[in-house]
Amino acid sequence: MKVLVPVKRVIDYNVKVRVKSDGSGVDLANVKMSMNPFDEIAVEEAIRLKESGAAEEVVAVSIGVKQAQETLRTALAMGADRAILVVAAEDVHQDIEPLAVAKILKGVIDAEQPGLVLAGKQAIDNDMNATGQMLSALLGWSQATFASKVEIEGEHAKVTREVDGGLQTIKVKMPAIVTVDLRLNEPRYASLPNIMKAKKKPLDEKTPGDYGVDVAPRLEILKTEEPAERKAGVMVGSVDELIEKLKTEAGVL
Amino acid sequence: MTCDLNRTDDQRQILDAATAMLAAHYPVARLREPRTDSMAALAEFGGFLLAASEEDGGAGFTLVEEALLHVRLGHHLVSPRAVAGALACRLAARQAEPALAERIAAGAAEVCPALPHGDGHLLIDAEGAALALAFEGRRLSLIELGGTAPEPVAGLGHGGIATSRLAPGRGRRIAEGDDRACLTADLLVSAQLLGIAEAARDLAVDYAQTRRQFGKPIGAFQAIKHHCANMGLQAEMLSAQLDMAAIAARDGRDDAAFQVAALRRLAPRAALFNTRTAIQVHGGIGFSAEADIHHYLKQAHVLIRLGEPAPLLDLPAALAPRTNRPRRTPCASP
Repeated sequence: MKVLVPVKRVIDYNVKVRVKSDGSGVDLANVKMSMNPFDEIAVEEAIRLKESGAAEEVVAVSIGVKQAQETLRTALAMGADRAILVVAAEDVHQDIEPLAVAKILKGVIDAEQPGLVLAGKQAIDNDMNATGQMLSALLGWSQATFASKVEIEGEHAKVTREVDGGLQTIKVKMPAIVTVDLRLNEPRYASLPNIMKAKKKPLDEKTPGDYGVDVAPRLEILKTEEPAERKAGVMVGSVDELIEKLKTEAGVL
Repeated sequence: MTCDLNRTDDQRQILDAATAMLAAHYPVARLREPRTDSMAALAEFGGFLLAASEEDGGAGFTLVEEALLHVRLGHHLVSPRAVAGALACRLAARQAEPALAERIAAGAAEVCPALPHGDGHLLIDAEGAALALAFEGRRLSLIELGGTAPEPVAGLGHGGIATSRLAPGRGRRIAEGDDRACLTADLLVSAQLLGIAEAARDLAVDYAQTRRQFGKPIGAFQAIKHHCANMGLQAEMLSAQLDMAAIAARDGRDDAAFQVAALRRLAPRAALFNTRTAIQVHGGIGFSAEADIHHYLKQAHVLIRLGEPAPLLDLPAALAPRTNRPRRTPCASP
């Protein structure tokens, strides 16, 4: 079985995000970029499936600017076998919308015929949480979202999902789209010899035109603004005082 | 002469991977409990063979990338065994001891640094080490410890760096380093000192942003700002010199020896300046074991001794080994 893992180049999670002065988006000039942490978890799971013998090949795909090949090299250094970069933008500030990404991924999947797609549940930059679900609809494949455990059982995948208030275990027919959550695994870091070996692994470059997809934005960003600054907290002397304040000041009791 | 000092994609990837590895296996918080660092995680990461060719089982990068890795090791105060291991691998490989080089690279044979001490050696962090790399002025020697039992000496300061004495005539010299090995040693030791200088600067700046006095963070006061800026200057100056020296050494340029000599001159000064200033910025807590900054000063002193072997016992009193010093009796209550 072949596993396909879409990975996105996003602003590094350690970086303090700054909004551009005109409010048109986030400033990405000279900002450290990394692989979306949820996608890292998906890559790790795919590699573990390969190591356990459940998968034979892991293919990483990224859609975005040319610099995303750095992100793909990270996936290759972690253990993916090959990579595909779909260069869909020239400007680092242009975010490809989830529907366009899903359509391109459908094209890649039609060409690659994987048995499983493991994707991050959402990207930490736009927090859309949409691509996996859209891809599932476009392909007509089963989907399992927010996975915290994935087991392959013949023609099916048993997936434990993180839902409000607990866990839900479902069985989906393969091929399937699984979007992964934070607690699925702890991603490995690439070792130095593997970083060097990754340079020799194949990385194909494509364009959206190769899959007949138009990536022109359909959504208009009206405004981007920083969250309101948190107000300083208040120390209370006792539980009684806390309850009193919740009743009288916060009005939540 | 021009040099491209921008980080390449490879270098950025190495730094990212090293940061993740160090956070997982060598968090600075580990120093709050006295223990010896195992080099197993660093060996598995490929840290000892970073600059060796792929044919020799290495990662195939260069001295420049290795220096960058050692800067990160300095940030995390990884035991000086790391620098000793990286150098010992080279010595063993050059002296036609490939099996030994492989064992060191795989973490199966750990190497501790050693300094001349009387007629014998003072071993640093020697617990479980099979070999010692002696830094003897401008000479490096790899010593097989065999079944010798070094005599423990009390470590350096609180929660300190373990030291032990290797009696004269004990251990067997199995390899000697040449000028090239000394140059590499200077680079890697200086890289770790840069890591210490940068980490001390970062700790001080963080503290200056957090600690409030007179209603505002102490970093808002000009006297603290000056200290932080001076630490930044020292770290940047050393970083630029390390890049120049590593590139010159990698490319075998004529000025390599000069650049490395300049680096050797600057690195101890920057590391000591930054750690001492960071302690001052921390105020009272900087002098206590509660803050981590004291670890950086101690490690800087140890690494400096690897480059210029003044006796370790000549360290400032607070850091000197506590041997048979009588304990102070508490004053009787009036």
